[in-house]
Amino acid sequence: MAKRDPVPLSSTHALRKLAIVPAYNEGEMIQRVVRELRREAPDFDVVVINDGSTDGTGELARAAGAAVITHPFNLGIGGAVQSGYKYALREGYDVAVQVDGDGQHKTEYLPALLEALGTGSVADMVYGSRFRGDPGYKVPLGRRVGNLIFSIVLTTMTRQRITDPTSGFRMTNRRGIELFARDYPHDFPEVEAILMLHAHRLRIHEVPVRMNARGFGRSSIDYPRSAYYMAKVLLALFVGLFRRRPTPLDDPAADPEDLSAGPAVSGPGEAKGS
Amino acid sequence: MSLAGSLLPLAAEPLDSRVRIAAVVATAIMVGVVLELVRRRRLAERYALLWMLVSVALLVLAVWTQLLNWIAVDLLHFEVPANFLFVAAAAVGFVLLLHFSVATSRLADETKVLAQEVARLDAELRAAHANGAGPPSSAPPAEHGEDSPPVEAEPSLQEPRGSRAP
Repeated sequence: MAKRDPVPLSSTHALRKLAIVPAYNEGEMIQRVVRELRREAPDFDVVVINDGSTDGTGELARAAGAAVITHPFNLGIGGAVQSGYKYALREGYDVAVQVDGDGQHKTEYLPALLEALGTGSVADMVYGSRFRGDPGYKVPLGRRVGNLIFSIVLTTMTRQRITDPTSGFRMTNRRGIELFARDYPHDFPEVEAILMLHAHRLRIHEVPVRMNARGFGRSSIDYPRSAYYMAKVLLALFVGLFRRRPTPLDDPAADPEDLSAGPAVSGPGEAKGS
Repeated sequence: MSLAGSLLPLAAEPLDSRVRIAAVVATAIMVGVVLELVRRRRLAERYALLWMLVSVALLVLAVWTQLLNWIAVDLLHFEVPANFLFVAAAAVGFVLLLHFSVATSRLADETKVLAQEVARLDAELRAAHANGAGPPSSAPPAEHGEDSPPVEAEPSLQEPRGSRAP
């Protein structure tokens, strides 16, 4: 389990770090998010994935000082986040963190996440969990229940406590970036992404955080869709168990450096019969 | 037309002649429509082939009812030949729908990748224009450090890993 990262990094300051901000019609909120990131976390570059917004979110983000990637039409959160990881991979970032464009995630926790990620020897992905303490706002009951179900399923599957699988406040190292740039789930990606990490033997770690209630008070998941959400994600988890390794991450042609990382990456995943 | 006790005789008999005429006309129209769609290049050939196969099969069965009878009643023991047609039609429809769902999923996937690539190219082009003396674009000057080295983006697949080695 505790495999050392092949590349010891003496200090997290030397790392190139990127904040990926998926945004769809966030309006003024995107500027607040970007400005806060640049003020509170100046060592993070910011890329806003403008996912086909129709309200000038892209221009506002650019004006606030972020790099902006504009999708020609709306791909949904999965496609937007993956675009961010592709950008991170392309530009050679060592660390990427997802920060929602609606202001839900608090910048003040970035250092804690970074510390938990360590220099690659602690975890490959760390995420902020609302349910390790005070969530910071009143989480609606429906969401709590849904979250609990996913939490139980994932905790069973990964044999590791996953208290907030729907949290999108995630920070990954190079391995996570490479994995997500190649393959990322579609509709409601957060829960499946955890399973993907597990299937690839990437180590997951959680950090208690508080979050803000959503900027506009509307969740991207309302009641009629929540049933679909539950069914879709549970099906995806179930299928994920039988799926072969979803991406050719440990393709033998890969960097020899990473092969020397050994079983941490290229060991047989238990999600498939190897 | 007495239905009483006529189940077996009915089953053994070929389809009513009026039904046959209607079936022949309908399937002939179907073949014609498919051919016309192919001629106008509105239908890709592989689907055209499929639909023509289906319509020709129907046409043959409509004209040559003994064949239908033989397949349905003698071979598969359907009581009424028409039932075989219904079952076959439903099966073909189901398989086609499944096929289209698969095709749609693949298209959605490909569309996603295309959109992401377009977005990337757009961002890189803007960055290049903002930096160099490229033609003016609607891109406002990006003062962010991120945009400055667009050249570095290219050999990214191997290069960045090496870059973290020291």
